[in-house]
Amino acid sequence: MKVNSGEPISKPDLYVLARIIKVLKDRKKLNRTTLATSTGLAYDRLVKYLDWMSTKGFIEFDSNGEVLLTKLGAQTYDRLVDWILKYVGKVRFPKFSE
Amino acid sequence: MKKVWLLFVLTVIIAAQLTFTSAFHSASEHCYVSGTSGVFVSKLNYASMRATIYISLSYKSAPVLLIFPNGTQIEITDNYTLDLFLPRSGDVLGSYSTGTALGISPASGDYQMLSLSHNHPIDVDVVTLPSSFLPWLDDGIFPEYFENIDVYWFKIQGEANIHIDGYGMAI
Amino acid sequence: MEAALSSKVAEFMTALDQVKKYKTLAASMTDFVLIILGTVVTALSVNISICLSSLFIGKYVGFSIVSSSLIIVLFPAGIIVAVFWVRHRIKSITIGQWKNKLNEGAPGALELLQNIQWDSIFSDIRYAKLGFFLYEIAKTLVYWVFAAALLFVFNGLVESVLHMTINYVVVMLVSLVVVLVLSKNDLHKRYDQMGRLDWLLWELRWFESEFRGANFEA
Repeated sequence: MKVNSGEPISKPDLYVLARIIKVLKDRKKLNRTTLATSTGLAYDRLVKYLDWMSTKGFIEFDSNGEVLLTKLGAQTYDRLVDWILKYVGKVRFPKFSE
Repeated sequence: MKKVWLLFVLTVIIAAQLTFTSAFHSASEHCYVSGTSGVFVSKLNYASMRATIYISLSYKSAPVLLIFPNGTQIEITDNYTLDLFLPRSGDVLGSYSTGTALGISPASGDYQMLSLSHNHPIDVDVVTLPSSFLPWLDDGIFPEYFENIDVYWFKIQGEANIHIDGYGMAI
Repeated sequence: MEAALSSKVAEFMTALDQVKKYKTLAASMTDFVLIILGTVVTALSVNISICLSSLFIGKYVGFSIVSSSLIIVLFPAGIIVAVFWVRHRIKSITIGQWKNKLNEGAPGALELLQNIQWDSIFSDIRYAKLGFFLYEIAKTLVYWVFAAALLFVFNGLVESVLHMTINYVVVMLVSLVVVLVLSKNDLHKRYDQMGRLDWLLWELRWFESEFRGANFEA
């Protein structure tokens, strides 16, 4: 699941993907350096993810090179939350007494 | 893993302690005497024993006489306590190690006896008819018995309450 | 929807924290038994020392009085120390470290789920279940021995005052019944918790197998 920073991304780490989208959802648009700092990712790794996300249509770059989240990107995030909830939501946890 | 070893060691220590604790024995006797009686403290010779003899006079005006085997006599006019220690004087030998009970009773059959065994290696008794008991003890009819036991005794003349606490260890 | 996810994952992590606590409780069983055995060794050592000194140095103290006093003072002290030690160990474990991560929202929830060491969790649950069982047996046995010792002391008093002797088997049986009745709620709670741990194990197994096999198409 983890991505080797030396190679292009074939299968992204869902956690990293979710973090990038989440930051973009909260902050609207950011330059790459600020985005790397906000997500806690190494710049090289972030760039690879941004390239991959751009090809999927989740993000786009404006004329200043700043990163923007697309509608598809926001929908993907919601789908991801929904997908996790689909599994976690089915688990019935017993109530434990002390 | 270290805790498992510690558990094992503690269990072994407890087993050893319980075995050692079982070597301790106690005996006690409490009775009222009048006339001439005998006080006996006895043990198998591989046991160590301590006994405390409390003599409470029934009437302070009537003194009580203690007569020891060597002829010494003590007249007591007040409550009197005698503390004595009988040390270990031999080993567990021969058929004694089988644990068979040893009952030494006088021929008169008055049921007064020193009752010693491996399960009960110390004994304290107050004998109300020492005249029949003592000659039998001195005769040593069964010498093999007396080789393996130690007896401390004295006669008491008068009215008194006697309480004896005996306590010993047999290893 | 994100709040619902956070809440559900919080529930998930709380259950895992509980497993951690139960595992510690189970692991404390060895400490519990060690403290009790240590108490027994101490009591017997003191007892033997008093017996030896009574015999070879001082006056007769009274074997039964010494033993009874030791049982009355040392054993409850040992049991209290053991129980408090187990509680201290459970209280000292760190739980809820996931809360900061969960504040990140869905990414945090996802990371928490991804980083769960499933094999270790399943093993912990099985260990906790077995530990619970053994801990409860050890605790009941210790209480039984203590109750029996108290009853024997009581029996000694009855014997010296009323000259009545109670059969040893009866004393052991009565003390067992007393202990079982007094710990009924505790035993029931433990049995219930073991059942819930079973339930949790099956739910987590299902989730692990489903979640690992699932593929999110981005």
